[in-house]
This record gives sequence, structure tokens and C-alpha cells, in this order.
Amino acid sequence: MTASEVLEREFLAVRTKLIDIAAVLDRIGRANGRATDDPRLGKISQGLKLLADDDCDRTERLQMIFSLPYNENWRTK
Amino acid sequence: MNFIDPHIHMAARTTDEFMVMAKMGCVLVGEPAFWMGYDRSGTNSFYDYFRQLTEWEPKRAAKYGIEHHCWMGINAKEAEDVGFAEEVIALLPEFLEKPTVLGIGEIGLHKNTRNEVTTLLELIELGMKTDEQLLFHTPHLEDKYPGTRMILDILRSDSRIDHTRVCIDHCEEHTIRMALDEGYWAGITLYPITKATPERTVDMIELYGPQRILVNSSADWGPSDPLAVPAFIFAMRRRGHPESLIRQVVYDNPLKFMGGSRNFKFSAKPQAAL
Repeated sequence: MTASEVLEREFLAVRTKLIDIAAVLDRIGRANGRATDDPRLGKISQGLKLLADDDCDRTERLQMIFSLPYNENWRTK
Repeated sequence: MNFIDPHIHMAARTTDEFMVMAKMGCVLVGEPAFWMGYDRSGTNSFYDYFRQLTEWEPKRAAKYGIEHHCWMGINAKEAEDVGFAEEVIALLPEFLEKPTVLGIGEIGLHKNTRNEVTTLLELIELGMKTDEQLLFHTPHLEDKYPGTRMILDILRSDSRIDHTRVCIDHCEEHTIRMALDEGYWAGITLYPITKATPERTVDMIELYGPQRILVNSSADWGPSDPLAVPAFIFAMRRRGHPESLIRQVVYDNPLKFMGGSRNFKFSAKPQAAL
């Protein structure tokens, strides 16, 4: 399948998902109070920036944004 | 197409769902022992649960032509109390001899604590003594990456473990490669919100190939779908993958992995999916 064919098949689904994300962020913005100090918003922001990259490992990198770090000395910590 | 769901918690599902799964082509399920959504108050509760998995559920499944096999263990969610976990582990040898038991599972980590590791090591020790296959639960969400690496560290340091008889389950894009690279089976769980979707699972098959990959619903008492494996089959067909490849993932692979269990025998007759 060509890249154009994949885009043709997925375009509307991607459009819907992006609009859903925008609507959620707007909802948070309209709500009472502020959540700007919540680190989860920072992770969402990092994730959205990552989506604009061209590399083909965005899914794995996005997963890592939402992961705690691994400590190789976990046995002694 | 006939399929196998190698990880599903039918004890939390209805008989009607057994029927619908059979209509969709399911011929065999693997049910790991797990956390039932609440902490059990004593070892007797576990004893009854293990009896349910080894005695009652196989009968309930058989009415619809589905073979039911199970795994015995104590889930990481209830492993924090090491003393209590030891009492539960003492119940396991009796059940590991039951004819439908595939090995020890699902075991692993939840919040990656020292106590969880202590219980996990005891479960692995039991598995080595009785020559069991091992099925590992990897943690949820932000704990998955460090927890999966810790489990792999533990396994790597034990030379007795045959990697081809171990499944690292609930793999996602950031953990599947490390499980496959070390020779383990990698389970992918299809969940509507957390874990993987059918489309992302097809992506992972395309990236890593079908070898040593198991696709499951892990359907339980939470948001989950006992027909998730058929949804994956549909997603594979929609991408144009051949029936032979799909069958390898949803039928041949789980049979091959389960075939490594010392008790496993599969005798179900193929049935046509509606």
C-alpha cells in the first residue's frame, strides 16, 4: 500500500482524533481554575510537539514521554 | 477463522460471552489467575478461585466447544504483603498438577516495589522446581517501561530459565522489542483505552513480524472486549494481510507457546465461525 493510500484511508480518523484533542484542551481552558502546573499537561504538550516530527518512531517516543524512567540500580535503591 | 484467546479472564465474564466467542470461531482460551478487582481477605478465597479456574470454568467453556486452560499464580497487585503471598504460593503445587494448567501466571510487577520483587522471585523459584512455563504481567501505563526492564533483569540473571517458555505480556511499542530481542514470547493486549488497539497491533506485526507474538483480549471486569481478537483479525484483513499470516498469529502461535507446557493437550474440533 502506498503512503497516499494509507493517508486516504486514515485521514478522516486522524482529523477526528485531532479535533477531539483540541476540544478536550479547550474544555480544560474554559473550566474554572487553572491546571497549567499539572505535569500531565506538560506531557500532553510534549506529545503534541512530537507529532509534528517526521521520524517513523513517534509512537514509541510518545510512549516514553508517558513513562517513568528506568533505574538500572533498582536492586539497591 | 478459528482463533485462540491466550489471555482472558472468563471468571469475570458471562456464559453468553462464551457463546458469542464460540460463534466467532474461538476454540481455546487461556485464563491467567489475576486480581479480581478487590483484595481477597484470606487464602481460602484464593483456594476457591483456583478451584473455579481448574474445575468450573473448563466445564462452562466446554458447553460451547471451547477448551479452557489456565495459569496459576498470585498477581502483583496482591503481592505487596509478602507473608500473605507466601501462604497463597503454598497452595499452588496442588493446582499445578491439574490437567488444564499451563504454568505459573500471571505474575510480575504492578508498582515495581521491593516487596513485589520478593514475591515474584518466590513464584519463579516454584516454577523452576516444577518445570513450569511462565506468564508475566507487565505494569500499567507509566510503570510499564521500568517494570518491564526490571522483569527482564530478573529473568536474565537466572540461567535456569528457558526464554522460549516465557511470555512477557501486555507489551506495547516501547517494550515489545526488548522482549523479542531476548527470545521471549511477547503478548499484546487489546484494550479500548489503555494498552494497544487492533490497528496499533497490526503495526507491531508489520514492524517485528509474526514470530513469537501472541494477541489477546485480557478481557476482565473492567473496560475490555472478549471479541478483541476477532477485531484484530478484521484489522489485519483490512490492511490486506493474507489469511495464513493472520492464522499464524491468532492460532498457530498460541498453540505453539502453550505446547511448551508440560500438561498441555489440545483436542478441540475446529468449528466454523459464523
